[in-house]
Amino acid sequence: MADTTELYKYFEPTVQLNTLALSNIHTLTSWGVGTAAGILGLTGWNGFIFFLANWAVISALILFVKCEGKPSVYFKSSFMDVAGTPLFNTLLSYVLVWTLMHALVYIYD
Amino acid sequence: MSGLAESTEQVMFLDPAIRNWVLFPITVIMVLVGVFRHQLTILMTGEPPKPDIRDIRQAKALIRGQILAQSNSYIPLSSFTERKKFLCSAFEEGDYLKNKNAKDQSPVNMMADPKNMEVMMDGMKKQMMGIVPQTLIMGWIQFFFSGFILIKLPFPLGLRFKQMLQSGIMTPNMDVKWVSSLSWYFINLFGLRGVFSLILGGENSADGIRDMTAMGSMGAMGQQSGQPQDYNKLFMAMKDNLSIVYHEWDLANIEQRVFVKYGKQSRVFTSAAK
Repeated sequence: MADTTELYKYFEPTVQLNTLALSNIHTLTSWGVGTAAGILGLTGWNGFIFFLANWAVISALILFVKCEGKPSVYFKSSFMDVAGTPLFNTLLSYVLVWTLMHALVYIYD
Repeated sequence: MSGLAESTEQVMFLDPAIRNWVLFPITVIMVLVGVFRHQLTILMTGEPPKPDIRDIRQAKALIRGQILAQSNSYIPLSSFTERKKFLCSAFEEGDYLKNKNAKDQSPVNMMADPKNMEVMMDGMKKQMMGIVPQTLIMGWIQFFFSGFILIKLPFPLGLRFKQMLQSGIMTPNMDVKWVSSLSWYFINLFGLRGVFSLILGGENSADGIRDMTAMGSMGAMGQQSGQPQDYNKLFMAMKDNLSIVYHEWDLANIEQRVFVKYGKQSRVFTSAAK
């Protein structure tokens, strides 16, 4: 009967707004977490574990506080959209800030 | 830094002058160039060419056929048949085609159409905007900031990267973690995308990586978009599509289905004639 209702279920501009807001959250938090990792002097695997632990906490916060437990209301593919897809981009930002802060604190006199 | 001491961390301290004059300037320059590129792209993107009404009519007629095929369950059989007959005869006659007289001619060469030239030039200009700053910055960094260690990566990499990341320095024993300025350029290239999306909003043209992937696909794409759509063939295909659609009205026998649902009738009796 209608999988055309699937097409009309989501209002496209709002979906884009939500995705943009989510990406802003991810960028800002990755800067914060990266600064913390750099200052703490984490190196190697510790740094990545720290990132993943924080990622889990932040994703849980987004899902349960902002989305009030119902991510499918706000995003098209719910869980993967919120926590899976932005992971790699955020990781790259995190590495930049982590390297920068670590160098500023520990490498330069 | 050899023999027994090999397993310990190589600890070095760097001159803060390097930090002030290399680390920060590279980042700042990359951010500024990105913003500059974004604004320049906005200025350079001309108005998209106004499409011809016959072009639009062609495309919409095809979409109308598709919608009819997809949504056939919403209308009863008689309506569907009427629409199907009308559309099929229109497609057959070529009523919706741009050049009805030129129906049987082979498609016109894309290059001769002046409108399309503008679109292609715009695309090429965008590509140039992407590639040139990247190359310039890389050359600038290689020229001015080579031959010294800039920063230490907090995470380890394989030995293969040593050659790429410590390009100017001839020390076989130094850890791969100590890298030159070029690797700082790469780290910035990947990491600043988040910053750009914060400053410039969602759709921004300051993304270095998108240009790199676009460069790769540019060759393949240039060949394909040169073929204009042959609407005559498309219309014929749609006509065939419509004639084989199996129509099933959602409201068929709805009265009996309601009875069955509320238990007043045991099952639906379908008749031969719909």
